[in-house]
Amino acid sequence: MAAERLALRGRLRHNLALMSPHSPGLPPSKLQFDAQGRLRHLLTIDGLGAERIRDILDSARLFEAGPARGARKVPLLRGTTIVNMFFEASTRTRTSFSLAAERLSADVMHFDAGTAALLKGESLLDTLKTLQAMGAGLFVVRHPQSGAAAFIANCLDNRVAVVNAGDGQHAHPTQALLDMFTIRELKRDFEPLCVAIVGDVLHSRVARSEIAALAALGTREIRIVGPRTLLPPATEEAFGARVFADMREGLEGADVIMLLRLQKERMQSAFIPDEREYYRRYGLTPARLARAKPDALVMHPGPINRGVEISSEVADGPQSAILKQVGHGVSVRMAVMALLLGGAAGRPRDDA
Amino acid sequence: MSGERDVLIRGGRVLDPAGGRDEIADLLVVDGRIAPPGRRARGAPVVAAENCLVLPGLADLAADLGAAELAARGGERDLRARLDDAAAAGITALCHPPAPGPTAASLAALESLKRGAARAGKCRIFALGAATRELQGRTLGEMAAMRDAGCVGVTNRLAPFENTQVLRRALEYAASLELTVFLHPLDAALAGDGRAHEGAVAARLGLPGIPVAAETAALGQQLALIEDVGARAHFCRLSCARSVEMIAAAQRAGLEVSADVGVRHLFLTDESLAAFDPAFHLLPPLRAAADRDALRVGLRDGVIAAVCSDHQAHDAGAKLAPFPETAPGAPAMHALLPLMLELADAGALELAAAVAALTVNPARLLGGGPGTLAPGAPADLCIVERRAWTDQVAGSPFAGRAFAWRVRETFVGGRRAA
Repeated sequence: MAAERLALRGRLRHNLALMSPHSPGLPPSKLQFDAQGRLRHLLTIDGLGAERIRDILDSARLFEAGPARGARKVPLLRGTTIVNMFFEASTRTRTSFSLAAERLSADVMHFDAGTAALLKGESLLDTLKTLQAMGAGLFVVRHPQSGAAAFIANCLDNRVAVVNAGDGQHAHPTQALLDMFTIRELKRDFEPLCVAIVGDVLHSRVARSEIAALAALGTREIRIVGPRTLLPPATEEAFGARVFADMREGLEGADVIMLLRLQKERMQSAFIPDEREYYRRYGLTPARLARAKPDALVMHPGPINRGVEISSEVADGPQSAILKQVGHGVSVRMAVMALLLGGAAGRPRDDA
Repeated sequence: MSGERDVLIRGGRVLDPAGGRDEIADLLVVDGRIAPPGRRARGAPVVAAENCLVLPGLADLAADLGAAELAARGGERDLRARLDDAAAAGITALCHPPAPGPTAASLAALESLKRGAARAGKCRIFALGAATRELQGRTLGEMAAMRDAGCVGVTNRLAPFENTQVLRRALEYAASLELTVFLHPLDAALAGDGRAHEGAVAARLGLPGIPVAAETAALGQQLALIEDVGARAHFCRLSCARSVEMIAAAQRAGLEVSADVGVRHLFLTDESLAAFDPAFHLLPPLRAAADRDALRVGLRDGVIAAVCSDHQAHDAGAKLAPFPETAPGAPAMHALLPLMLELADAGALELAAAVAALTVNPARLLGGGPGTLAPGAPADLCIVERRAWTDQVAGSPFAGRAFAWRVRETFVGGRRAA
């Protein structure tokens, strides 16, 4: 009996060891750095700091000028395997990451967990270990639950990097970085800017990461505009942003307007009456846009719902930066992968 | 001649809030019961307890050992290990909640747990019955059958009552059987798919929130019905400042209501969630610092009568997922007494009040169980020493923390249980 008990304890200990090679006690903002302060994962914008964000944007700029535009590839990550691990459907984001990896000459493996429910506990750990054993150097993780990217980073060993491609309502750092890239290209400095984020902030990982990035870069004023049912509780305290329920007031004098996507299911769970009423209060029409600065930028992470978040006139108008955003996605993701896996700013590899 | 259930506990600080006793004294146990003062030891084995506290054994209103699940898969050895953990924590009486299945199965599981506990000589088992059939919230549970089987009250656990009519009738019917209804104030719709206290921390982490109103709206409704039908009720696991005020007001108005709090909610806040560590995924959720402070005050003022561990024994797999997908709950029995004694050390609470909240008060809620060291009472007690140790329990929210107090020995009916 004692022997059996020992065996059971041994197994438990083994499971725990599998579970957390690193300490689970670190918030994602700290977990993403190694002991020397180098970035090992990109889990959240929190804790990155202005300098590192600028480095990534600078490096994205170099990629933008070069291979992203042409057919040329850079051999930076030749021999590296990158796994796209998507627990939630997203063709656009996945394609953007794949293109970025291919342009860096990495091998790309796709792992689609059609039903995330099947992949939990031991079976998830087994899958991660298998992919790791196959030599994967970087996991791009998209998951419907907040904190999932940090959980997976905690399950893997030191040599593997994780890029959070969106975890629940928590963070979507590469989207925020490409938005910052777009703003910087068109507005240069952040210090004088007033940025209004409009819509469903409550359910938006994009908004959380954008707010963190804008704050890190010293943006003069960050505003959040939307109906109270779609704003997180304690928004002002949590994000240090000014909250507006009225669209016109919220857009007054803004330099950048960042719209968020409205999901259909919000109507069913009684957050708002319907799309028409949403458009009536928060749709970006030319008249509302006129309240902002004349050269204000209009942004949206896509895909846009015309006649819900934005009128076609504005979406296709001269102030819209929506298509530019999409184009910058690949180079920003190249910059992030290059930073994590090597290159001048990267960390030396343990197995190199 | 001394029997096997005789023991002389020598020179400890005997603290028995039920009898108002606090003195350095020898405590003699004869035939499993506390002997009257002046009785001679006559060769009973001696346990030296100098510099130790000698306390009544703890009565834990909420320690889910997962007995029903373990019984279903024949995990008798695991159950024994969990009873060992309880005894090691100084717990000598446990309240067993009803399982979600049919009454007969639930009572069979209870019987087997009681038998297992008695065989192991670890702790006494008290039980609550199901307030509604299979805890489904639609029709009344077989309360009389459960009372006859030894249940000291009824509860629907965290499962919602389908509507206020069912809740009202459950309160009335239980009152007619003189059973206390143990209520968990949580409005299911307002709690929704929430995983954390609705506040700035959850907002930043993108975790769906459980608003304070999920507790207070349910509590307000329940109090109104209790007042209406004149039932006796106990509110389990308060988590918010506002709830303490509401219970206090109800008590002042003469309602027969009592309340308890889980020990973690007296120490931790939602700030602990920043690392998405599932050890802090609890239900009710850890709330703001102001709530924690108000719960402490409510305890000091007597509005909250009892503190329980609210322990959950999960398999490792239950916590092996991203935070929102993990099962709520964490082990806590081991931390119950050390944390409460630290609260007394810090001056937040009189030592006797801290001990009463763990012993005589919950014992009374369980229908006058032991919880005292009065002469004639069963010798359920623990000996506690001031000795630093570090929490190494897997999955504990206090893992790595140092505790100042440690349970050295536990006796149940005069027999050493740990």
